Amino acid sequence: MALLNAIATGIIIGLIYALIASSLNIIFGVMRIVNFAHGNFIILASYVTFWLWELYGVRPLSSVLVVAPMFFLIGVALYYLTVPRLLNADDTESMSLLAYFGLSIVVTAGMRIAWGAQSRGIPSPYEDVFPLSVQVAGMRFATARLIGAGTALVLLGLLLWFLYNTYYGKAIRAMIQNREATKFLGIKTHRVSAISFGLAMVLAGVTGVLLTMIFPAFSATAGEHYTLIAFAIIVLGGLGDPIGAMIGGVFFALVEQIAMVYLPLTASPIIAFLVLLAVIMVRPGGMFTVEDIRTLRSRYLSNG
Amino acid sequence: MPSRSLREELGESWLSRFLAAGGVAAVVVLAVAPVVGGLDTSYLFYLMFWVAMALSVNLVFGYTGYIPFGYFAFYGVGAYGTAMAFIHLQLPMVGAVLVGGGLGVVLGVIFLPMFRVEGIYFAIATFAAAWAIKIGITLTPEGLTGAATGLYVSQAYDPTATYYAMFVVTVAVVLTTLWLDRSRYGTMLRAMRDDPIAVEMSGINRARLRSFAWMLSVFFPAIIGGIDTWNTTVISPEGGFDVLLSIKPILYALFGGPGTLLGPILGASTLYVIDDILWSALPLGSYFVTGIMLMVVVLVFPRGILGEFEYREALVRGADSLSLENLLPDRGEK
Repeated sequence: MALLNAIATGIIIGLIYALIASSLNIIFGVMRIVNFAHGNFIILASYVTFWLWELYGVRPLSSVLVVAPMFFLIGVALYYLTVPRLLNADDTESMSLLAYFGLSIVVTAGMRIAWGAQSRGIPSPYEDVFPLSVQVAGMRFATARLIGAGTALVLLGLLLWFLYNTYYGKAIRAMIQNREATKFLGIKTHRVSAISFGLAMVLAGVTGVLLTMIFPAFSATAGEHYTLIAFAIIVLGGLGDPIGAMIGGVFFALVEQIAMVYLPLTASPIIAFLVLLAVIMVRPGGMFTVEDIRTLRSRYLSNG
Repeated sequence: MPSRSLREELGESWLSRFLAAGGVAAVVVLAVAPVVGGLDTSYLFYLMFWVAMALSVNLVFGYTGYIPFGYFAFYGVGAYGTAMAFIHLQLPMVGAVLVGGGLGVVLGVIFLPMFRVEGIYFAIATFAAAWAIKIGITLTPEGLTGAATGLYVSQAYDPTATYYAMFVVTVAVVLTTLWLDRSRYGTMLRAMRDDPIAVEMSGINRARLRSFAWMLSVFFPAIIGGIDTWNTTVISPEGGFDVLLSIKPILYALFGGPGTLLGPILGASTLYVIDDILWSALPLGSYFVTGIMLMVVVLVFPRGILGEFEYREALVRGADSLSLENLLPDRGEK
């Protein structure tokens, strides 16, 4: 029973992890920029959601209307302020890691200065419309949690549709596969990069909104934890591969939740670090990479 | 006439003698400060602290190009090792600090396999490992490590002794860096950072050379952690495993000019002055401004102060000195 519960919780949280990891992966895949501040921006969005609820009674899902445009602007601004310089550096990945680590400290410290270190939460925002909890197959789920998970699922579907069916989505995937080649195809790489940065930040922002519905509380310092989890997932699922990140996210959350059944609660953050360490040491390229698929295909083609 | 880079000029000119004299004067001032009085020894203690941290992270960051984000683990392990040796083994404080340093070296050996991965993977792997150690300590029994609250060694408090201990460590780091910079190891490390393949072709064992720099670099933060615990008489998971203990030394080294002796000293002593003022005004402001400084340094002065001078120098000297050899050696430009 506890195990079944852990699996259900794992899938719900896994959808959130999938969102965090796929948005981080888009930025990394397209630009080779390591956005270490990703988790901190998610928490920033949670704060925006919290204050909209606390001050104006805006429900979490409605606050997406504020968070999404705000984070798109932040993303595009960050792109033009930092990325062109970083792309000119000798080692874009390392330099971007340092710069965005700096940004992550700035965002965390800013939030702690402004709103303190105590944890905040939005208790049952939809209780006047829906029942507080729903019983499914003998397990109780908070309604807000289910709404959050449902929204996350819809968003992941939308992201997939965007990546595979629209011009910009295809351009983003092309740039992940081969940045140089896209320049010859007449794709405006700067514009596509800026849009993908903005889009990834919108996803981060909406994830922050959903976070307030899925988890009972968040605090200013939680951002680094989410960033590290997201890194573990994208290394697990393949760098620059949004679908791998989605599958990796759900897988990771399942491992985490099932392990928590058997381990003390405070030990749970260690799991993320141990998975990350193990994956980096054993298979730094991720479980499946674009190169793997290419070699498989070329092998298949040369044989047949 | 073959043009010479600033580095070579520095090696022989009056400037070099001037710097050496300045260094000796600084050492003398630091040595007599507690005796003479009139100077804020606690300020000087932390100035030496950051100079030593910046120089020791520079041994691996500056000379190999690897970014050890989890560097704070060595400070924390050294600090905990010292406090535990003092409390549980009843060692005198100097011995306890050495035990802490030894633990740092042991942890360094455990971290060695991470050098199999490069770039951001190394940085993130060390960071995750350091974080796991921090959480691991909060899970240990209260009687052993103090768990989430930490340990106190207030009966060992002795500001003069800690000041001189830090002084000795700082001088040791400076001498180590000076020796490494002049020795063939330093030359090999710089060559490896700038062109790994050429070094491999010359029959140099890259892994062994890198491990050598790493082991030099992890001993000092553990010792420094021990001395700092001796000085503040308290160690906690939050204070001992603070991300700033990785970021500030890297920032200071990067700001001054990584892979040099003068750079980290210059970077640490200029930025520490700013940091100290902020810290007293608003503790969280230190995080805030460290982050902003890191972004500005990476985005605007990626060569560091010394590198920037060298680069400008090369530009001024004209086309023949703008050849790659003159620009390359200082920042690993490929």
